Amino acid sequence: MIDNLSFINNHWFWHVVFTALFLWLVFAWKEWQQVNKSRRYLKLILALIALTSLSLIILKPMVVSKLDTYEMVLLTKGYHVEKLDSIKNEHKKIQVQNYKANRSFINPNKKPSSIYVLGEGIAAFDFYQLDSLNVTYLGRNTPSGVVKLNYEQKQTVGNSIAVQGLYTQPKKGTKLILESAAETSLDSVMFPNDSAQIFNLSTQLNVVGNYEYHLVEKDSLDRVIASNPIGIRVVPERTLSVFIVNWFPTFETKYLKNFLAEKGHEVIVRSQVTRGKFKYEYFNRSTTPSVDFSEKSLQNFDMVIMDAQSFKNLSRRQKNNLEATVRNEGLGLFIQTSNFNSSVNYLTDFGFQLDKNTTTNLSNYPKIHISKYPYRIKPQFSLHPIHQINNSVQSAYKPLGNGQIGIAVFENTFQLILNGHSNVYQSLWTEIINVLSKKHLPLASWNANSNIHFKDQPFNFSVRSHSKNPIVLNEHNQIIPLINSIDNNSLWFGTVYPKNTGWQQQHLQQDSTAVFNYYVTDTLNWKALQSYQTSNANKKQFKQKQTTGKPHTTRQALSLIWMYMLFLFSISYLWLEPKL
Amino acid sequence: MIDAKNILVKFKQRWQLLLYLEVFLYALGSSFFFYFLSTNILLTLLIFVVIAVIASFIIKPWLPTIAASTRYIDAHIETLEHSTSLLLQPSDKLSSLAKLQQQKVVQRLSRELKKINPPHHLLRSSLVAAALIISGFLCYQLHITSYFSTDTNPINKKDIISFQPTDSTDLKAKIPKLINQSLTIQYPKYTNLRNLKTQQMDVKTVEGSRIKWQLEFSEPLKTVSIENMENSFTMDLSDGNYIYNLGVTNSSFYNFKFTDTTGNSYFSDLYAIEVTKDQGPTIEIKDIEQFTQFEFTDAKNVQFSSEIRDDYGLNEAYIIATVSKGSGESVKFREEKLNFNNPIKRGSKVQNLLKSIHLDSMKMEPGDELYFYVLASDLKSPTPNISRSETYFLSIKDTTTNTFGVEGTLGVDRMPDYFRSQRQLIIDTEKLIRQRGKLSKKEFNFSSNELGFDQKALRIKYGEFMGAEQADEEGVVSQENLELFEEENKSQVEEGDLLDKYSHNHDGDNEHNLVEEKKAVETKNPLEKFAHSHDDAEMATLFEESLRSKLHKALGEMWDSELYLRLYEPEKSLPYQFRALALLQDIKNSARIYVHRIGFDPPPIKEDTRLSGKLEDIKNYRKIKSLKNDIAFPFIRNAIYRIEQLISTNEAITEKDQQLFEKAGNELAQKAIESPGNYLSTLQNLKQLSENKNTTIAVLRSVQKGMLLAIPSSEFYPTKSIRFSDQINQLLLKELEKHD
Repeated sequence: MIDNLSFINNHWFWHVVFTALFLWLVFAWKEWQQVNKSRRYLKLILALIALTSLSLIILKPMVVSKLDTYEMVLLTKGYHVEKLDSIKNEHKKIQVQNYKANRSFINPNKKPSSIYVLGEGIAAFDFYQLDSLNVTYLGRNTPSGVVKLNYEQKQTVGNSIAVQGLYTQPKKGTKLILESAAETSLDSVMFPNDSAQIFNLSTQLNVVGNYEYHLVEKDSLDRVIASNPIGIRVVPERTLSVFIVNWFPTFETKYLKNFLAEKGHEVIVRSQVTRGKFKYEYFNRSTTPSVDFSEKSLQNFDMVIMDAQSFKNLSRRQKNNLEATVRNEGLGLFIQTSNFNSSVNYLTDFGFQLDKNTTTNLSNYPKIHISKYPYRIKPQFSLHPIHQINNSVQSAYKPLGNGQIGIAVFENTFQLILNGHSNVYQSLWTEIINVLSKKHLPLASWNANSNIHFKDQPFNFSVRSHSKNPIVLNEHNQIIPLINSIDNNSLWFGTVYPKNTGWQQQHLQQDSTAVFNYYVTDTLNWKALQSYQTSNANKKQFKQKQTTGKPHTTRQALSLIWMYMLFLFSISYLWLEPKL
Repeated sequence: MIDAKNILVKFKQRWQLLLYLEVFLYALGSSFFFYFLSTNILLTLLIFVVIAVIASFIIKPWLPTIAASTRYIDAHIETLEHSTSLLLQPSDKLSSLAKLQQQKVVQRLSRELKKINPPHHLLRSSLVAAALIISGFLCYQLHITSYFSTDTNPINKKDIISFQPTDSTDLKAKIPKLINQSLTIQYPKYTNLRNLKTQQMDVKTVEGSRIKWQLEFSEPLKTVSIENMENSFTMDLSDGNYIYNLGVTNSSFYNFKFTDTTGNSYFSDLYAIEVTKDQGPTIEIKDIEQFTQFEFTDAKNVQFSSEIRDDYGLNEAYIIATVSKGSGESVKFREEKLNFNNPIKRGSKVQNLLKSIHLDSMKMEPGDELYFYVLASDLKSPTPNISRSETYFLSIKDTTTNTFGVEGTLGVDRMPDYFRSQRQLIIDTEKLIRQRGKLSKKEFNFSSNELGFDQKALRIKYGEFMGAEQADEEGVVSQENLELFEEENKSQVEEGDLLDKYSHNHDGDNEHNLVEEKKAVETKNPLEKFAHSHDDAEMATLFEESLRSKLHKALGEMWDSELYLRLYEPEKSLPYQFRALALLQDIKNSARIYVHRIGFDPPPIKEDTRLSGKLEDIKNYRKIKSLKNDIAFPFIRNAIYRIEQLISTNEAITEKDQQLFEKAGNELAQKAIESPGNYLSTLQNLKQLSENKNTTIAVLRSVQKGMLLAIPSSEFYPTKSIRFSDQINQLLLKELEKHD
């Protein structure tokens, strides 16, 4: 019982108790002096009552009291009236409330015993309002439209970008069109029936800049149903410096070097003409520095492509230099092998297995055959496949320190060009080179969990930086507060509430080149996607029923009127008694 | 009486007909004239009707009535005594005297009427009509109409140059008005095209033309200029007209710009100058196969026609014929320029030319070939376009040579697949001699015979150098050796296969034929021994004679060597073989000089370093090349992004942007020249953006769209990927490596 009692003015408790006691003792002493003993004890008791009630008036006692329980149904966007009706049938007295984002909807003094959420659910940033409440999320049907979207927001100029996603419940004949910033239709897909469909749209990016492309939905009469913006950031190319070493000139190398050189990369080809004499070809670069397999000269390259025979003929010292550069500088090494033993060593071990197929293909171009040796690369713990079809690894790499060493079983890929499939050839080698080549090490790495952010909604980002105490500034040079990760001291988290739509940027104070561009759109766009995401978040959040079992209670101040009455009664007796 | 009346009616009808004919002639003449001027059928018909109506009202062909006819006849035939009208009266109402007179007149009338004609001006009208038609035709032919047409035709509203102020905020001043605009294209003289005067400012012309612009404004202006790509030309003022002359060689774009007296400047839309290149002549050869072969006994005449076309006129055309004699290394060429049978008409656009070639007159012999092609050039100056046809072949079958012969039932070339060199033969023979004791006689004889066969094969091979006749007569069953061949076949059948044990099947079959060959050589060219053809360099005897004799000698030695080998006496054959080898070495050295003379110039070889296997002088080879395409259209790329920024941030266009747009416009113009249809509107909008800061988002978007189309696209670009590396990454990499 005593647990249930507390006081509003708890901090005065002892003062009041001692004062009251003191007053009572004074009163008792005074009474002791008097002769009339007959009512002494009555008076003392009454004085005690008066003082106690006075003290309680000052301390304002509170008691824990059970709350009235009630049930609530929360209506969010897209709820079904039928569901609401059936809930109302079940629970006659249920209270109905409409949800508005960012508004409080629970009376903290009168919390409902259970809440039914109808419709898409409440926004993730409002979840805190339902903490420790018993919530049942009844969900909604999947909305019609693009509910999943995935694309690489940042892409190098000259590459193509693929926008993939899931479109649910399309109307027959609905078209989804990818439009460029200049409102040119670039790629489109039509939905032949009303079942959910994965779409994959792509386009080539030819101009550097931050753009707003659109994913336009049109019905069968070409009326626009919705036009949702996607931000695409095209960054300038980074040229590579490639060193190709051949024991003898091959067509494979000839075409590879042409491909790289025509794309503007710096290429040096060294092929042996006769013993100890070499033919050097320098593309897009000067003849300096020399190419002598010293650590210093190797540091200038992003990638070394070498045939197995040249590798074999490297001196021990040269091999050590190569390994050190791969390990420390992150140099990429690709070995053009024709030796398919079960175990070979090119700075690290590779193995091959017999495979009777002599042709393969790329997953993006399933109809075009690429000839290969009748081997596949043996899977190993640290082997990362680059090209793999049905568990048969055709090209792969192994990391070695910061660098990576790659290998492939493709044969005469240049025939793809001769057969007119130069896009397949370019795709093949672009993938290999992108994976293997030396990585660009930025000073800070930014990360956001999605490509599309909404105005006035929290946008969480993380940044990894070498700086000990990074400071992130927005466009107006205002500081955005960061939280350091407990596990990783170079990882920091932050949240911003974008005020404007379009491309926004923030940067590190320590390094103004470490800029993060992110795309913000209005909440009116991407409705299906938002709804689907909210719905999923709600499902996840309210998966377990939060039944606490305890009745909902609250501490309520006792009404002081009784104290006043007691005090008045006792004090009036004490006042009147001597006069009577 | 009725007859008499009929005569008068007929006369009236004739009169009317003549008058109608007159009307028709006037109408016809004037309508033809009009047709030649306007070439508009509908208008012409209208003119015909109008003129016919007018002429009818003037000439009034319906006027001559019977009464008028009688009056006319009375007036012109005195003998009728003004009594013709009597004929029209019914005789019963006439007095008897009148009846008498009527009778008299009828007789006279029928007699006299043939002498007179109704009055008409048919000659005059036909002359007028003819004059009109001829003058109309002349006008049409001489394009006289075009001189007037431009001035008479009103300017098409679409074509009027519209000027916009560069700074649209300052519109207080009245825009000076363009009163007159004209553009004259002066084609190059050789095209024979007349000057073209037009109001349209988009020009399509031939390379080398001159263009003259003429603009007339309502008010005097400060300057008027033409902006052509990056250049700006100020127009000259003369007689109130601003004039500029420009010779064009390349397609380009231009616009006008003027500044009025208050200093405001205005610019026009962009116009295209499309320059077409003068095409070279096209030549089509007809009535002849690409490859024609004649028997020696044929007539050996070819006739063909060639149709040569050019867009502006041909200059000349002729045939280049090459006669080749001989084959292999001894081939000789003779080139001749032939004219067509009929001379080419200079300046004509299409020509059909005939040519007949008599191979005999080209001094061609059996085995010779004639290649010819047609060369034509046009009138373009200063450098004419020259084009040539495909090459056609004419050849006379060689009566004596054949690359392979069909021997009996054997339809194959009997040339052996390989043959040993003389050096190898010597080595093998020496080896055989060494093995004499060790081998059985049969084996020894077999090997010796084998070597003999190889010696023969080698001899035949070298025989080819002597000329095809020696190499090939082997299997040929020609007239000369037919009998022998048959005889031999018979004898072989009779003989059975005695030699089979010692020889291969392919061996010996034709042994006797070889004996015949000398005869064939001798009969081939009996004059050769006695004649020296000094005038032909290829036939010069300086090397030839010694070579031939040496080869003959070598072949002779081979003959003997083979003989002894076949007789199983390899020892005796050896000296012959050595001599043959020495001769062959000699021949090979001289052959080098022969090859040199033909044209191949081999690098000098130092005998001492040759094949020494030393690499000291072999140098590393360095090749430096830049394949990096400078980024195509850098300004267009920048402009595209700048427009994106302008749209998203809603900024105003700055001076800097205008400069950017101007540069982008210059880049786009290069692209637009290739395909003006695609980029012209974008280019015009860009021009406006670079001159005028006020614009709409729609215009910006369309410009951006147009520029995006101009940029070449690429799908794959290998590049450096980005990876952030910190302690945790490093730790992970280390752990991974540990577990590998």
